[in-house]
Amino acid sequence: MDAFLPTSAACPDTERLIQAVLDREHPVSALQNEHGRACPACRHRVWEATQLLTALDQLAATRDVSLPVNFADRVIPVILADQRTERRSQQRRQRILAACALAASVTLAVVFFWDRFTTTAPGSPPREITSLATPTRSETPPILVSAQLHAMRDTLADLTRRTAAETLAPAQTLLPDASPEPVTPPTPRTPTTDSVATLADVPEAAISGLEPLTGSAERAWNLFLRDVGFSQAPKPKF
Amino acid sequence: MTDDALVRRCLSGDPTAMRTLVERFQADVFALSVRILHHRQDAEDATQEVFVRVFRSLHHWDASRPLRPWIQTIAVNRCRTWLGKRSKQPQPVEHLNLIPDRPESAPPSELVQGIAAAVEELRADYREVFVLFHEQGQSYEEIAMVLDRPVGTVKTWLHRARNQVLETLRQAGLVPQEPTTSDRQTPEPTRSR
Repeated sequence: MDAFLPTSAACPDTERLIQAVLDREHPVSALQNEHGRACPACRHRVWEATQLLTALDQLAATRDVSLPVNFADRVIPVILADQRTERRSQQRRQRILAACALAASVTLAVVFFWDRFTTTAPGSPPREITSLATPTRSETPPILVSAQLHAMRDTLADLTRRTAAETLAPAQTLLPDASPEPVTPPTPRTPTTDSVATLADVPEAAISGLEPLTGSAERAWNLFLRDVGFSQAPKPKF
Repeated sequence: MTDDALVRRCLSGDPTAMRTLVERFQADVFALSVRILHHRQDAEDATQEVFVRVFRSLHHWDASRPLRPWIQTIAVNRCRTWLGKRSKQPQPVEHLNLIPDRPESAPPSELVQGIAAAVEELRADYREVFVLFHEQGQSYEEIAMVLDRPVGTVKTWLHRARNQVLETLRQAGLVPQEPTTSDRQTPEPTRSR
Protein backbone atom coordinates (compact mmCIF):
# COMPACT_ATOMS: atom_id res chain seq x y z
CA MET A 1 0.00 0.00 0.00
CA ASP A 2 3.01 2.24 0.08
CA ALA A 3 3.47 4.27 -3.04
CA PHE A 4 0.17 3.84 -4.73
CA LEU A 5 -2.04 4.69 -1.86
CA PRO A 6 -0.80 6.48 1.22
CA THR A 7 0.80 9.65 -0.08
CA SER A 8 -1.28 11.52 2.38
CA ALA A 9 -1.91 10.65 5.95
CA ALA A 10 -5.13 8.83 5.17
CA CYS A 11 -6.66 6.47 7.67
CA PRO A 12 -5.69 2.79 7.40
CA ASP A 13 -9.31 1.78 6.98
CA THR A 14 -9.64 4.07 4.00
CA GLU A 15 -6.47 2.66 2.44
CA ARG A 16 -7.75 -0.88 2.91
CA LEU A 17 -11.06 0.10 1.40
CA ILE A 18 -9.38 1.64 -1.63
CA GLN A 19 -7.28 -1.49 -2.07
CA ALA A 20 -10.38 -3.66 -1.86
CA VAL A 21 -12.10 -1.53 -4.49
CA LEU A 22 -9.04 -1.81 -6.73
CA ASP A 23 -9.15 -5.59 -6.30
CA ARG A 24 -12.86 -5.52 -7.26
CA GLU A 25 -13.86 -6.85 -3.87
CA HIS A 26 -16.13 -3.83 -3.33
CA PRO A 27 -17.89 -1.52 -5.77
CA VAL A 28 -16.55 1.99 -6.28
CA SER A 29 -19.56 3.39 -4.49
CA ALA A 30 -18.24 1.88 -1.28
CA LEU A 31 -15.71 4.69 -1.14
CA GLN A 32 -18.44 7.25 -0.60
CA ASN A 33 -18.93 6.91 3.12
CA GLU A 34 -19.33 9.34 5.98
CA HIS A 35 -15.72 9.18 7.12
CA GLY A 36 -14.47 9.85 3.60
CA ARG A 37 -16.38 13.09 3.56
CA ALA A 38 -15.43 14.20 7.06
CA CYS A 39 -11.68 13.41 7.15
CA PRO A 40 -9.70 15.77 4.85
CA ALA A 41 -6.85 13.29 4.20
CA CYS A 42 -9.22 10.46 3.43
CA ARG A 43 -11.37 12.72 1.31
CA HIS A 44 -8.33 13.56 -0.86
CA ARG A 45 -7.30 9.93 -1.18
CA VAL A 46 -10.80 8.81 -2.08
CA TRP A 47 -11.09 11.51 -4.70
CA GLU A 48 -7.69 10.63 -6.20
CA ALA A 49 -8.46 6.90 -6.25
CA THR A 50 -11.82 7.52 -7.84
CA GLN A 51 -10.24 9.55 -10.61
CA LEU A 52 -7.68 6.82 -11.26
CA LEU A 53 -10.31 4.10 -11.28
CA THR A 54 -12.35 6.07 -13.75
CA ALA A 55 -9.30 6.53 -15.96
CA LEU A 56 -8.54 2.83 -15.80
CA ASP A 57 -12.05 2.02 -16.91
CA GLN A 58 -11.73 4.50 -19.75
CA LEU A 59 -8.40 2.97 -20.71
CA ALA A 60 -10.03 -0.42 -21.15
CA ALA A 61 -12.86 1.12 -23.12
CA THR A 62 -10.83 3.32 -25.44
CA ARG A 63 -8.71 0.59 -26.98
CA ASP A 64 -10.07 -0.64 -30.26
CA VAL A 65 -10.02 -4.38 -29.89
CA SER A 66 -12.60 -5.10 -32.56
CA LEU A 67 -11.61 -7.98 -34.77
CA PRO A 68 -10.79 -7.50 -38.43
CA VAL A 69 -13.50 -8.62 -40.80
CA ASN A 70 -13.37 -12.32 -41.70
CA PHE A 71 -10.46 -12.91 -39.41
CA ALA A 72 -11.28 -16.62 -39.10
CA ASP A 73 -11.31 -16.97 -42.89
CA ARG A 74 -7.73 -15.75 -42.94
CA VAL A 75 -6.58 -17.85 -40.03
CA ILE A 76 -8.07 -21.23 -40.96
CA PRO A 77 -6.09 -21.72 -44.24
CA VAL A 78 -2.88 -20.81 -42.41
CA ILE A 79 -3.65 -23.38 -39.74
CA LEU A 80 -4.41 -26.07 -42.32
CA ALA A 81 -1.23 -25.31 -44.24
CA ASP A 82 0.76 -25.49 -41.01
CA GLN A 83 -0.83 -28.83 -40.17
CA ARG A 84 0.10 -30.20 -43.60
CA THR A 85 3.68 -28.98 -43.18
CA GLU A 86 3.84 -30.38 -39.69
CA ARG A 87 2.51 -33.75 -40.87
CA ARG A 88 5.04 -33.85 -43.70
CA SER A 89 7.95 -33.02 -41.43
CA GLN A 90 6.75 -35.60 -38.94
CA GLN A 91 6.67 -38.25 -41.68
CA ARG A 92 10.18 -37.20 -42.72
CA ARG A 93 11.38 -37.51 -39.16
CA GLN A 94 9.82 -40.97 -38.89
CA ARG A 95 11.47 -42.05 -42.15
CA ILE A 96 14.84 -40.79 -40.97
CA LEU A 97 14.41 -42.57 -37.66
CA ALA A 98 13.43 -45.81 -39.41
CA ALA A 99 16.43 -45.55 -41.74
CA CYS A 100 18.74 -44.96 -38.80
CA ALA A 101 17.32 -47.95 -36.94
CA LEU A 102 17.68 -50.16 -40.02
CA ALA A 103 21.26 -49.02 -40.59
CA ALA A 104 22.12 -49.68 -36.97
CA SER A 105 20.60 -53.17 -37.14
CA VAL A 106 22.48 -54.04 -40.33
CA THR A 107 25.75 -52.75 -38.86
CA LEU A 108 25.29 -54.81 -35.72
CA ALA A 109 24.45 -57.91 -37.73
CA VAL A 110 27.48 -57.48 -39.99
CA VAL A 111 29.80 -56.97 -37.05
CA PHE A 112 28.42 -60.02 -35.26
CA PHE A 113 28.63 -62.42 -38.22
CA TRP A 114 31.99 -61.07 -39.37
CA ASP A 115 33.47 -61.80 -35.99
CA ARG A 116 31.89 -65.24 -35.90
CA PHE A 117 33.03 -66.44 -39.36
CA THR A 118 36.53 -64.98 -39.36
CA THR A 119 37.75 -66.31 -36.00
CA THR A 120 36.49 -69.91 -35.98
CA ALA A 121 36.81 -72.71 -38.51
CA PRO A 122 33.63 -74.42 -39.59
CA GLY A 123 32.77 -77.29 -37.34
CA SER A 124 35.12 -76.32 -34.54
CA PRO A 125 33.94 -74.95 -31.25
CA PRO A 126 34.08 -71.21 -30.78
CA ARG A 127 37.33 -69.62 -29.79
CA GLU A 128 36.27 -68.84 -26.29
CA ILE A 129 35.33 -72.47 -25.60
CA THR A 130 38.70 -73.71 -26.91
CA SER A 131 40.65 -71.37 -24.72
CA LEU A 132 38.68 -72.26 -21.67
CA ALA A 133 38.83 -76.03 -22.24
CA THR A 134 40.76 -78.00 -19.60
CA PRO A 135 43.72 -79.96 -21.08
CA THR A 136 43.46 -83.75 -20.81
CA ARG A 137 45.76 -85.77 -18.64
CA SER A 138 47.50 -87.42 -21.58
CA GLU A 139 48.50 -84.03 -22.99
CA THR A 140 50.23 -82.97 -19.78
CA PRO A 141 54.04 -83.33 -20.17
CA PRO A 142 55.72 -85.51 -17.47
CA ILE A 143 57.73 -83.65 -14.88
CA LEU A 144 61.17 -85.24 -14.59
CA VAL A 145 63.26 -84.60 -11.48
CA SER A 146 66.50 -85.11 -13.36
CA ALA A 147 65.50 -82.63 -16.03
CA GLN A 148 64.72 -80.08 -13.37
CA LEU A 149 68.08 -80.70 -11.70
CA HIS A 150 69.89 -80.35 -14.99
CA ALA A 151 68.09 -77.12 -15.73
CA MET A 152 69.07 -75.78 -12.31
CA ARG A 153 72.65 -76.80 -12.83
CA ASP A 154 72.83 -75.16 -16.25
CA THR A 155 71.31 -71.99 -14.91
CA LEU A 156 73.81 -71.88 -12.07
CA ALA A 157 76.69 -72.49 -14.48
CA ASP A 158 75.50 -69.71 -16.78
CA LEU A 159 75.23 -67.33 -13.85
CA THR A 160 78.73 -68.23 -12.66
CA ARG A 161 80.23 -67.73 -16.10
CA ARG A 162 78.55 -64.40 -16.59
CA THR A 163 79.63 -63.17 -13.16
CA ALA A 164 83.18 -64.26 -13.78
CA ALA A 165 83.27 -62.57 -17.16
CA GLU A 166 81.92 -59.32 -15.74
CA THR A 167 84.41 -59.44 -12.88
CA LEU A 168 87.39 -60.06 -15.16
CA ALA A 169 86.43 -57.50 -17.77
CA PRO A 170 88.25 -54.51 -16.08
CA ALA A 171 91.34 -56.62 -15.59
CA GLN A 172 91.42 -57.48 -19.26
CA THR A 173 91.54 -53.79 -20.22
CA LEU A 174 94.58 -53.34 -17.97
CA LEU A 175 96.35 -56.42 -19.37
CA PRO A 176 95.59 -56.40 -23.05
CA ASP A 177 97.99 -59.27 -23.83
CA ALA A 178 96.74 -61.51 -21.12
CA SER A 179 93.92 -63.02 -22.92
CA PRO A 180 92.08 -65.31 -20.59
CA GLU A 181 91.56 -68.80 -21.62
CA PRO A 182 88.16 -69.06 -23.16
CA VAL A 183 85.73 -70.75 -21.00
CA THR A 184 84.25 -73.63 -22.83
CA PRO A 185 80.72 -74.21 -21.87
CA PRO A 186 80.04 -77.69 -20.72
CA THR A 187 78.27 -79.89 -23.11
CA PRO A 188 74.71 -80.04 -22.13
CA ARG A 189 73.65 -83.33 -20.85
CA THR A 190 70.64 -84.94 -22.05
CA PRO A 191 68.25 -85.37 -19.24
CA THR A 192 67.88 -88.91 -18.19
CA THR A 193 64.73 -90.46 -17.12
CA ASP A 194 64.21 -91.38 -13.54
CA SER A 195 64.36 -95.11 -14.20
CA VAL A 196 65.29 -96.05 -10.63
CA ALA A 197 63.43 -95.11 -7.60
CA THR A 198 65.38 -97.02 -4.92
CA LEU A 199 68.85 -98.50 -4.55
CA ALA A 200 67.34 -101.95 -4.94
CA ASP A 201 66.75 -101.18 -8.59
CA VAL A 202 70.45 -100.43 -9.25
CA PRO A 203 71.81 -102.94 -11.77
CA GLU A 204 74.20 -105.63 -10.68
CA ALA A 205 77.04 -104.30 -12.82
CA ALA A 206 76.83 -100.91 -11.14
CA ILE A 207 76.90 -102.55 -7.76
CA SER A 208 79.93 -104.62 -8.67
CA GLY A 209 81.80 -101.45 -9.60
CA LEU A 210 81.33 -100.24 -6.08
CA GLU A 211 82.65 -103.38 -4.36
CA PRO A 212 85.78 -102.76 -2.25
CA LEU A 213 89.00 -104.60 -2.85
CA THR A 214 90.40 -104.91 0.67
CA GLY A 215 89.07 -107.08 3.40
CA SER A 216 88.35 -104.37 5.93
CA ALA A 217 86.70 -102.35 3.29
CA GLU A 218 84.72 -105.37 2.28
CA ARG A 219 83.55 -105.86 5.82
CA ALA A 220 82.59 -102.29 6.12
CA TRP A 221 80.69 -102.47 2.90
CA ASN A 222 78.88 -105.59 3.99
CA LEU A 223 77.97 -103.95 7.25
CA PHE A 224 76.61 -101.04 5.33
CA LEU A 225 74.59 -103.26 3.04
CA ARG A 226 73.24 -105.15 6.03
CA ASP A 227 72.26 -101.99 7.84
CA VAL A 228 70.38 -100.61 4.91
CA GLY A 229 68.72 -103.94 4.31
CA PHE A 230 70.18 -104.89 0.94
CA SER A 231 72.14 -107.91 2.11
CA GLN A 232 70.76 -111.17 3.32
CA ALA A 233 74.09 -112.22 4.68
CA PRO A 234 74.29 -113.02 8.38
CA LYS A 235 75.68 -110.51 10.71
CA PRO A 236 79.40 -111.04 10.80
CA LYS A 237 80.93 -112.13 13.99
CA PHE A 238 83.83 -110.15 15.23
CA MET B 1 -20.80 -27.76 -27.58
CA THR B 2 -18.35 -28.01 -24.68
CA ASP B 3 -14.70 -27.17 -25.08
CA ASP B 4 -13.75 -30.79 -24.56
CA ALA B 5 -16.02 -32.05 -27.31
CA LEU B 6 -14.90 -29.25 -29.59
CA VAL B 7 -11.26 -30.15 -29.08
CA ARG B 8 -11.95 -33.81 -29.76
CA ARG B 9 -13.64 -32.93 -33.02
CA CYS B 10 -10.76 -30.66 -33.95
CA LEU B 11 -8.28 -33.43 -33.27
CA SER B 12 -10.25 -35.72 -35.54
CA GLY B 13 -9.70 -33.21 -38.35
CA ASP B 14 -13.13 -31.63 -38.55
CA PRO B 15 -12.71 -28.24 -40.29
CA THR B 16 -16.03 -26.96 -39.00
CA ALA B 17 -14.93 -27.58 -35.45
CA MET B 18 -11.69 -25.78 -36.14
CA ARG B 19 -13.57 -22.73 -37.34
CA THR B 20 -15.83 -22.88 -34.31
CA LEU B 21 -12.87 -22.96 -31.97
CA VAL B 22 -11.21 -20.01 -33.68
CA GLU B 23 -14.40 -17.96 -33.63
CA ARG B 24 -15.00 -18.80 -29.98
CA PHE B 25 -11.67 -17.49 -28.74
CA GLN B 26 -10.45 -15.05 -31.38
CA ALA B 27 -11.92 -11.96 -29.71
CA ASP B 28 -10.23 -12.71 -26.41
CA VAL B 29 -6.90 -13.49 -27.97
CA PHE B 30 -6.96 -10.47 -30.24
CA ALA B 31 -7.96 -8.07 -27.46
CA LEU B 32 -5.23 -9.41 -25.22
CA SER B 33 -2.69 -9.10 -28.01
CA VAL B 34 -3.71 -5.54 -28.81
CA ARG B 35 -3.50 -4.53 -25.17
CA ILE B 36 -0.14 -6.07 -24.60
CA LEU B 37 1.47 -5.22 -27.91
CA HIS B 38 -0.19 -1.81 -28.41
CA HIS B 39 0.01 -2.37 -32.12
CA ARG B 40 -2.93 -3.55 -34.15
CA GLN B 41 -1.07 -5.13 -37.05
CA ASP B 42 1.30 -6.92 -34.73
CA ALA B 43 -1.67 -8.10 -32.70
CA GLU B 44 -3.31 -9.58 -35.82
CA ASP B 45 -0.15 -11.46 -36.72
CA ALA B 46 0.36 -12.59 -33.14
CA THR B 47 -3.24 -13.81 -32.93
CA GLN B 48 -2.77 -15.83 -36.09
CA GLU B 49 0.39 -17.36 -34.65
CA VAL B 50 -1.43 -18.12 -31.42
CA PHE B 51 -4.07 -20.18 -33.21
CA VAL B 52 -1.47 -21.97 -35.30
CA ARG B 53 0.28 -22.97 -32.10
CA VAL B 54 -2.98 -23.84 -30.40
CA PHE B 55 -3.82 -26.37 -33.11
CA ARG B 56 -0.25 -27.61 -33.26
CA SER B 57 -0.27 -28.54 -29.57
CA LEU B 58 -3.93 -29.20 -29.05
CA HIS B 59 -3.27 -32.85 -28.27
CA HIS B 60 -1.18 -31.69 -25.27
CA TRP B 61 -4.13 -29.90 -23.70
CA ASP B 62 -5.21 -31.36 -20.39
CA ALA B 63 -8.94 -31.91 -20.67
CA SER B 64 -9.34 -31.56 -16.91
CA ARG B 65 -8.38 -27.89 -17.12
CA PRO B 66 -10.32 -25.09 -18.80
CA LEU B 67 -9.41 -24.32 -22.37
CA ARG B 68 -9.62 -20.52 -22.26
CA PRO B 69 -6.72 -19.93 -19.82
CA TRP B 70 -4.64 -22.44 -21.75
CA ILE B 71 -5.14 -20.48 -24.98
CA GLN B 72 -4.52 -17.20 -23.17
CA THR B 73 -1.27 -18.61 -21.83
CA ILE B 74 -0.15 -19.29 -25.37
CA ALA B 75 -1.26 -15.78 -26.34
CA VAL B 76 0.70 -14.16 -23.52
CA ASN B 77 3.78 -16.17 -24.42
CA ARG B 78 3.49 -15.22 -28.07
CA CYS B 79 3.09 -11.55 -27.17
CA ARG B 80 6.11 -11.78 -24.90
CA THR B 81 8.14 -13.27 -27.75
CA TRP B 82 6.81 -10.59 -30.07
CA LEU B 83 7.83 -7.84 -27.68
CA GLY B 84 11.28 -9.37 -27.36
CA LYS B 85 11.69 -9.41 -31.12
CA ARG B 86 10.39 -5.89 -31.39
CA SER B 87 12.80 -4.58 -28.78
CA LYS B 88 15.69 -5.79 -30.90
CA GLN B 89 14.50 -3.92 -33.96
CA PRO B 90 14.46 -0.14 -34.41
CA GLN B 91 10.96 1.28 -34.27
CA PRO B 92 10.29 4.00 -36.81
CA VAL B 93 6.88 4.91 -35.43
CA GLU B 94 5.30 5.42 -32.07
CA HIS B 95 3.13 2.43 -31.23
CA LEU B 96 0.60 4.33 -29.26
CA ASN B 97 -0.25 6.40 -32.30
CA LEU B 98 -1.05 3.28 -34.28
CA ILE B 99 -3.86 2.20 -32.00
CA PRO B 100 -6.99 3.86 -33.23
CA ASP B 101 -9.50 4.79 -30.59
CA ARG B 102 -13.08 3.90 -30.92
CA PRO B 103 -14.48 6.38 -33.39
CA GLU B 104 -17.73 6.79 -31.55
CA SER B 105 -16.12 7.43 -28.19
CA ALA B 106 -14.87 10.70 -26.86
CA PRO B 107 -11.13 11.34 -27.10
CA PRO B 108 -9.32 9.93 -24.11
CA SER B 109 -8.37 12.30 -21.40
CA GLU B 110 -4.82 13.25 -20.63
CA LEU B 111 -4.90 11.02 -17.60
CA VAL B 112 -5.96 7.99 -19.65
CA GLN B 113 -3.20 8.62 -22.16
CA GLY B 114 -0.75 9.00 -19.30
CA ILE B 115 -1.81 5.68 -17.83
CA ALA B 116 -1.45 4.00 -21.23
CA ALA B 117 2.06 5.42 -21.59
CA ALA B 118 2.95 4.34 -18.05
CA VAL B 119 1.67 0.83 -18.70
CA GLU B 120 3.81 0.74 -21.81
CA GLU B 121 6.88 1.38 -19.68
CA LEU B 122 6.19 -1.45 -17.26
CA ARG B 123 8.31 -4.57 -17.42
CA ALA B 124 6.73 -7.44 -19.30
CA ASP B 125 5.30 -9.51 -16.43
CA TYR B 126 3.93 -6.46 -14.60
CA ARG B 127 2.34 -5.23 -17.81
CA GLU B 128 0.73 -8.62 -18.47
CA VAL B 129 -0.76 -8.71 -14.99
CA PHE B 130 -1.95 -5.11 -15.23
CA VAL B 131 -3.54 -5.64 -18.65
CA LEU B 132 -5.15 -8.93 -17.69
CA PHE B 133 -6.62 -7.46 -14.50
CA HIS B 134 -7.55 -3.88 -15.38
CA GLU B 135 -8.21 -4.15 -19.10
CA GLN B 136 -9.26 -7.76 -19.64
CA GLY B 137 -11.16 -7.84 -16.36
CA GLN B 138 -9.80 -11.20 -15.23
CA SER B 139 -9.58 -12.33 -11.62
CA TYR B 140 -6.42 -13.08 -9.69
CA GLU B 141 -7.07 -16.80 -9.99
CA GLU B 142 -7.55 -16.64 -13.75
CA ILE B 143 -4.38 -14.58 -14.17
CA ALA B 144 -2.46 -17.03 -12.00
CA MET B 145 -3.66 -19.84 -14.23
CA VAL B 146 -2.73 -17.99 -17.41
CA LEU B 147 0.71 -17.00 -16.21
CA ASP B 148 1.27 -20.23 -14.30
CA ARG B 149 2.20 -18.29 -11.16
CA PRO B 150 0.86 -18.36 -7.61
CA VAL B 151 -1.97 -15.99 -6.79
CA GLY B 152 0.24 -14.24 -4.24
CA THR B 153 2.82 -13.51 -6.92
CA VAL B 154 0.14 -12.10 -9.17
CA LYS B 155 -1.10 -9.84 -6.39
CA THR B 156 2.40 -8.63 -5.67
CA TRP B 157 3.10 -7.92 -9.32
CA LEU B 158 -0.15 -6.06 -9.76
CA HIS B 159 0.49 -3.97 -6.68
CA ARG B 160 3.94 -3.04 -7.93
CA ALA B 161 2.59 -2.33 -11.38
CA ARG B 162 0.04 0.08 -9.92
CA ASN B 163 2.73 1.77 -7.87
CA GLN B 164 4.92 2.25 -10.90
CA VAL B 165 2.04 3.59 -12.97
CA LEU B 166 1.14 6.08 -10.28
CA GLU B 167 4.75 7.09 -9.85
CA THR B 168 5.01 7.75 -13.58
CA LEU B 169 1.81 9.78 -13.46
CA ARG B 170 3.14 11.80 -10.53
CA GLN B 171 6.39 12.51 -12.30
CA ALA B 172 4.42 13.66 -15.34
CA GLY B 173 2.22 15.85 -13.16
CA LEU B 174 -0.88 13.90 -14.14
CA VAL B 175 -2.05 12.83 -10.70
CA PRO B 176 -5.49 14.40 -10.32
CA GLN B 177 -5.74 17.15 -7.77
CA GLU B 178 -8.67 17.54 -5.50
CA PRO B 179 -10.98 20.33 -6.64
CA THR B 180 -11.52 23.36 -4.47
CA THR B 181 -14.21 23.40 -1.86
CA SER B 182 -16.51 25.46 -4.03
CA ASP B 183 -16.71 22.98 -6.88
CA ARG B 184 -15.98 19.82 -4.85
CA GLN B 185 -18.03 17.19 -6.42
CA THR B 186 -16.83 13.61 -6.32
CA PRO B 187 -17.21 12.14 -9.80
CA GLU B 188 -19.32 9.10 -10.12
CA PRO B 189 -17.17 6.41 -11.71
CA THR B 190 -18.66 4.29 -14.42
CA ARG B 191 -17.30 0.80 -14.72
CA SER B 192 -17.42 -0.61 -18.17
CA ARG B 193 -17.35 -4.17 -16.90
